[in-house]
Amino acid sequence: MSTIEIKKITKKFGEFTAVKDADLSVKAGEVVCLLGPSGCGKTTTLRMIAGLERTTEGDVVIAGKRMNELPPEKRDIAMVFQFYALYPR
Amino acid sequence: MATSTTTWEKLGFRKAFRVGEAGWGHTLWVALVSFIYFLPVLIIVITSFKVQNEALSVPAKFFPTSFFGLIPEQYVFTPTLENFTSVFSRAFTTGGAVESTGFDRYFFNSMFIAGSSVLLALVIGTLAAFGFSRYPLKGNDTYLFIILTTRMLPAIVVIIPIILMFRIVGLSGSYPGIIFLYTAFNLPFTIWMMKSFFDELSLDVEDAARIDGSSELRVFFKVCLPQVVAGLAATFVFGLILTWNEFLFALLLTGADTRTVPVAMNQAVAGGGIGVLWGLLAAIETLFLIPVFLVTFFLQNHLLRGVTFGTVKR
Repeated sequence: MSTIEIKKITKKFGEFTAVKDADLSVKAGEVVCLLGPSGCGKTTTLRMIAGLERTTEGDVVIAGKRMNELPPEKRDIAMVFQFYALYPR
Repeated sequence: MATSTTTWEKLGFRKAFRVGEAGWGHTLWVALVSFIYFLPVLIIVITSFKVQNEALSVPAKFFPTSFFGLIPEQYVFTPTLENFTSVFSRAFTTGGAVESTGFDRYFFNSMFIAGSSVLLALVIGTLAAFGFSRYPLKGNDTYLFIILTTRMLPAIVVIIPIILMFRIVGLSGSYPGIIFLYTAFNLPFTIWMMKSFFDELSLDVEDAARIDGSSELRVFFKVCLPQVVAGLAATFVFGLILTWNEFLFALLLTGADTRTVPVAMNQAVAGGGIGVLWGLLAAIETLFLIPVFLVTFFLQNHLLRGVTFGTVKR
């Protein structure tokens, strides 16, 4: 059973704190909606789960494995971006 | 606004209030300006087909044929290919047998030196530009500015130390020496140009590729590079033209075997006491024009094509 779990993750860009102590756990087959105003850290959280941003503190656990240091291509996870991102020919 | 057409508009000068095809007036005006700009090139090409006394005649003889008697005889010259053959081999004015002038060698040198140094600069510069664009250092702009300052110095200022350095290291007169020098000469321009192209790209595409399982190298070669082909082509053409025309470094840092055309041209046209051989000079210049013209011509599709063709909708 694959699950996504994030424990107390924090992301700081220099002085600015984008995400602070976020907890979330998603079970297999579950549909979760992250709702919030612009700039509250939704995208940053998703990018940290995908591995495109390093977490400042806390852990990202996918399928029971701690994934903090793994690059995105090793995480076996998919993400859809806000804009169409088509590969060049 | 009234719908009546003014004389100005009848002549073809439509008011440019919307995007569309220009009228005949504008087109002819542009053609006239282009003609003035290309006149020197045209004169060179025409002169290359003239013998010495026709090249020097006043008024200038402009037409290779009289167009069935339309043009007065004094403006017509008889075209000859003599200049082109004497670029490569000729008997000198002092008499004697026909000798090779070595210009085949000089043309090879020009192509080899310009081509390899621009390609080298393109490879190194593109990698550097990608680094500057995606993995900025602390004080990134300072580094970029320092790179740019190497282009702010006039060549004449740095030429003497470079000659001394080349002499000590033993690079003067050799192919690697002049190729490395031109590479260094082209690098700042390549880095700045390619960095601006990489900055234009959307980061989302690269992130998407990463999530789909591409390593950083694959992201660079398969995702980023295909999107900057237009930039690569433009940088290559600009670098090539710059290097192709370079005279000062080539004059002082190439030897008899590695001499490039601009330097050799200067020495070849001194006609042994009878003044400059204008026909010969024009013939060398015409031949010298062709390679760069061909490269630019075949790369123009890449130059014109949009940079972010088929990637991200903004």
